Order: sequence, then structure tokens, then C-alpha cells
Amino acid sequence: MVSLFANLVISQSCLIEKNKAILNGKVVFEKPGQDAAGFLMDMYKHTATNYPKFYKMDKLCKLGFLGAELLFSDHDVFEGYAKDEIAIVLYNANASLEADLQYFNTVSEMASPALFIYTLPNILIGELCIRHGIKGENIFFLQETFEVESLVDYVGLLLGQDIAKACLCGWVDLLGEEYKACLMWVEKNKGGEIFSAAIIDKLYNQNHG
Amino acid sequence: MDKLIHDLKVQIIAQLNLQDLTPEEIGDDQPLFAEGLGLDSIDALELIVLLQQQYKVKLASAEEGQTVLRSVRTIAEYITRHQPQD
Amino acid sequence: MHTSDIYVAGLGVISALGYDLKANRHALQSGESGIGAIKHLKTIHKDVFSVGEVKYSNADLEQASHLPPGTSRTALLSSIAAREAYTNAGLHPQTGLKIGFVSANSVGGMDKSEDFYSAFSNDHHKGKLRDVVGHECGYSTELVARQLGIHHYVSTISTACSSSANAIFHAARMIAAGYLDVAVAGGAESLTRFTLNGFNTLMILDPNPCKPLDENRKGLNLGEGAGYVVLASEYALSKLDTKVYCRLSGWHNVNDAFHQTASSPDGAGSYMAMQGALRKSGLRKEEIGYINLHGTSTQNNDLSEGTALIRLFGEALPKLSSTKAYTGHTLGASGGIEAVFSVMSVMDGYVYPNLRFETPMKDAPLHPVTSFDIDRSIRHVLSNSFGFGGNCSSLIFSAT
Repeated sequence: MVSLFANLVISQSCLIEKNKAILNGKVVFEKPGQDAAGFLMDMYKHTATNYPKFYKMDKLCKLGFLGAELLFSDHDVFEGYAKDEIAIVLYNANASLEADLQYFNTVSEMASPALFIYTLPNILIGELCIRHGIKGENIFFLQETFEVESLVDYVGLLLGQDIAKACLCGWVDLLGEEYKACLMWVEKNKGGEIFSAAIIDKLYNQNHG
Repeated sequence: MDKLIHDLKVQIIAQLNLQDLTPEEIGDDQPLFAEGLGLDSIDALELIVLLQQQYKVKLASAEEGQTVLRSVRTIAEYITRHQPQD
Repeated sequence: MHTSDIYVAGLGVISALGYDLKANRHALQSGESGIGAIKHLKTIHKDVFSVGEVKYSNADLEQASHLPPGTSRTALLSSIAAREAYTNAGLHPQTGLKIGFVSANSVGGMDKSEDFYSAFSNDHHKGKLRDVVGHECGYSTELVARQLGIHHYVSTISTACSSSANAIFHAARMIAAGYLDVAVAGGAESLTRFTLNGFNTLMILDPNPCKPLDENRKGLNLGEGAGYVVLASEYALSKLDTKVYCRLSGWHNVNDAFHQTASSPDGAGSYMAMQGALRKSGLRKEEIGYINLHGTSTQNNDLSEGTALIRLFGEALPKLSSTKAYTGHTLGASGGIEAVFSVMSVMDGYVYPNLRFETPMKDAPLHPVTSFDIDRSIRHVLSNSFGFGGNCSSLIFSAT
């Protein structure tokens, strides 16, 4: 199995957690003291992205959207790839529970369609695909805790067998005030950190301490 | 009618999360969908909810929405015609 | 060791059509739709909407599944169908094979959680906390995996209406790559007030029994159930005392990248998914004998899927139908349930009628089969599952 992944690299990585956004190891934004909703809004304004649909998204989608904006802030990232050659593989523990609760609170009065559409975790993938025009294979796994080895095996398989040529992958979870996005852009035969469980663990935990 | 039109614009911005817009930027007759404000099918459904919650006016179907929800003015006119009298 | 062929060695299903494979087969053959009035779900919309409800109470399902009272209906349905597939394939804990369980759903234990939440939100001292223990989508997967004694690989996928189709090809990949020898793969979903209200607020429900592909269709009927296939490598087959149903010869998944819940008007996602599955299988499109459509009966899906089909097949459309006219739209379980129906189609030549069809769509005229038929020349069946979030999957099952 090891030889399949030898040439896979993480060429971009980000972590968004505890009111801090880290891109490729450097803190690029922080706003201590804000609640989750406020932080996400402030981070959006900081990126100076003009994407009004952001305001309609639920918090999980906002979090994942911002993570991808960080990873793709260098627009050359997609160069050389057809949009159906890019896969998206995401994991979390809480699915869309945050949006489920927001939506459910409206049901007794009048159910909100705009909230209902976010009550599926893979809508985040849909939003990313719409934003970046990505059309490749996409999947959302639910795990109690992040099983890094399973991501390495699965993405390794996708790229190793040329099912995809690049992959946006990682963990995006949000419930209440707790949130964490650890996203990676994985490619073949480029510069970057080795795509391995040890490296991903390091990236996932880089905000601790 | 002018007050209703203004109120609608404020409510539409809030209901549809159009945070980047001010009421002044929405024309009374500006098409809300397609090339105008660019709203989509889910926005149309939210407007139907807005009409029911704020004005107690119920649209029969999504199809009826296509004519009623064309612009802020057409919505205001519909409300004026159909709002239940207290 | 990499194996190239993935075989289907077992089937299990529970739906509005009946408790097991035999009951579903019988209903499909006799044209008896499972769609009707809501009987078990406690909802204010009880007399408003037609649904494809499984015709058993939770108490009945608890007894059948040997799961404790209070277990989520999603888990109960999953258990019954997964066990049928497991047994059907001759699986048991002593095979020495690497067995996986890949199960999908989107509501999880929501049926119980909404009971809790309704009580709790009125009075914080009310509501049974144990109702929410099974809320997470992964919970029913873990529960059923434990029941079946499967530990080697257990995974939950949640991608809306394509969930269980994705579970199936994900399992196939794990087998092809040598991580697994066998997998029970598919999904389950139960009716909930959450989804009923939600789809109602999107105004895509038909209060009457739905009419997929019909110009005058008004929307979908929600359904519930569970469907699993057992996938096996050639090596695994040599260790199992089971019959081989067919092969899973192709699959493909793409994103439509158009809208959170609507499909693109030109059906780009559907087109790419079907085309990709054909490519994977190495088949020419003329070799497809029957297509089990996603065919939800919404204005949007049927037009989008129809457009894609006409673009792909042109004048030479194979026999096709939507079995959601029988079962309703079972959301996360639909890929799994319809995979079971597709396998039966390959095995026995079943061609299912598109019930209640009268008038072709003006803008994408499809002419589905309208009465049950047996066509033994069918060797390859295509099954479509397209989910919210633009997640589009197609599977191809082929005769061995």
C-alpha cells in the first residue's frame, strides 16, 4: 500500500479552529473573543471575497467554504486539472446537526426552506463545487473521531488509480460554539509535505498548546 | 403602497440574507429573479413564507409565485389585494 | 492481491412493498404500489400526504430485528434488511474473510430525536434523553455491524439521496483494492416529521400517489426502507456457500455543481454519472437492457434526468422506469433498495412498470415501461441515484 502513495503530497493545508485560521503553518487571521457566527463573518470580510451566497449558508458550510478559500487563494492551484479530475472527500462527526437544530426550531411556526436545504452534510460539498466549478467524485463520511488512516487510504486510492488527479479533503465539523476545519489540497508529484497519517495528525493538532 | 414597498425591501433583505444590499439598491420594479437581483428557487420559497408569516397571505403554488414575485411592486400589489381585513 | 470482478452474492430489502425480498418481488410483479396514507408516523400531515411507509409498527420491527424498544426506526429497518442480505449470502463469523459493512442514511435517529426535542423544547424537564442516544447517522451502522458480528471495516456515508449507491461502490472499491473480501453495502432511512415538513416547505411533495416522468407530475412521495447487497471478490466466493446473482460492473460519481438542491437544466451531473459508469464497465450504451431511473417525480429531477438520458442515448433509449412509483422516494436508502431491484432485473429479466404514467414530458419525452414484463435478454442494468448537493451516482449491474 505504501508505494501507492509515495508521490502524493499535501501542497496546501489549513486549520480553522478556536477563532484562528492557519494557512500552511502561518496564522493568517484571528479574532479572539468572538462567537462562532461572528468569527466566521469577520473572517469572510477579511478575505474580501465577493460571494453574496455566503450569507445564506449555514455555519458548517461557511466554515468549509472559508477553509477552501484559504487553500485556493493562490489561483494557480487548479492549473492543469480538468474540473472533473478534482475529487472532494470530507469527514465529520456531527453531520449537519447544527443546521438540523436551526431548521427544526422553525418547524413549529413555519418551516424555513432556506434552512432545510442545509440539513445534509454533503451540501457543503455542493457549495464548494458550485463556488469552484468542481465536478469530480465527491463523498462525505461520518466518523466519531477523525480516522486519519482511512482518509490516507481512501484519497491514496483515488489518486493512485487516477480516479482523480487532485483532491480537496479533510475534516470539517461544527456544533454550537465548537468548530474545526482541517483541509488539505492533495496532489501528485508536486512540492509539499508528504501525504501521510503522521503529517496529517500534525496538521490537525497544530493549534493545540 | 410606498411604505409597504419600503417595508418589503427591508424584510426581503433580512429574510433572504442579502446582507450586502440596502433597501435603496432594490428598484421597485427591478426583476427579483434571473437577471435582476439573481434570486433562486429557494429564495422564492422563502418569500412565500415571508408573505404568509408577515402578511397572512398564502400563495396557492410555486407556479403562482412566478407572477406574484416578479418585483417588489408586484408583491406589494398582491398583498394589498389579498391581505385579510382585520 | 487485486481482484477485478466484484460479484453480488446476497440481497436484502424492506420497503413499503413488504418485509423482505420475497414480498418486494411479489409486489413488483403484481404492480401493487406501496404508496398510501400515513399510518405509523405521528404527524399533523397524516391525512394530507401519500407516502411509501413500511407497513409495520416500531413494535413489530423491534421484535423482528431483536433490537430493544426505543431503537430508531432507521436502525430497525437497517438491521432487518442487512441481516437478510448477510444470511442470503451465506455469511457467518467463521468464514475467515475480511468482511465490511458500509451503510448510508441521512436521517439517522431523527425519528426518536424529534420526539425528544418536541417534549424538551416545551419543558426542559420533559423528554427522554435516551431517545437521542441513537441520533447520529453512524449509530445505526455501528449497531447493525455489532449485530452481524462485522468488525473489520465499518463505515457510514451520508450524501443525501445518492448515499447508499455511494456506499455500494465504496465497498466495491475496498474489495477491488484488497482491503476487504466481502461487504454488506447499502442504506436505510425512516420517515420522520423532519423530512416530511422539510420537503413540504420545498413544495415538492405530491399529496397523491406520484407520477414519475409524467408531464403532469406534481411532486414526490416520501418513502422509507432499507436495501443492501453483499459484494464479494472471486476469492470470497470460493469460501462461501452462496449463489452469485450478478456482477457490479460499473459505477461513477460526480458533482453537478449547479445548485444546493436543484439539478442543472441540461442534466450535466446525471449525464456524466451515467457516461462514467458505462466507461468503467467497458460497455457500449446499446448493451444496457434496462434503466432504473432516479425518477423522483419532481418537476426538476425528471426533466433534468430525462434531458440527460436523451442526450446520452438519443433515439435508442433502453427500457426504463422509476420504481419510486412503487416505493416512494426512500432518500438515503433509495440507492440500496433500487440496487436490489436492479439485481433482480439482471437475474430474472424483470422490467418494472412506471406506475401511473400517462403523458410524456413535453420537454424530455420518455416512454417508460407501463406493465410488468420479463425480458431474459437483459444482461446489463443501469441504476441512477442523484442527491441534493449535486451528488450524482450511477451503478451498472451485469450478468455473469
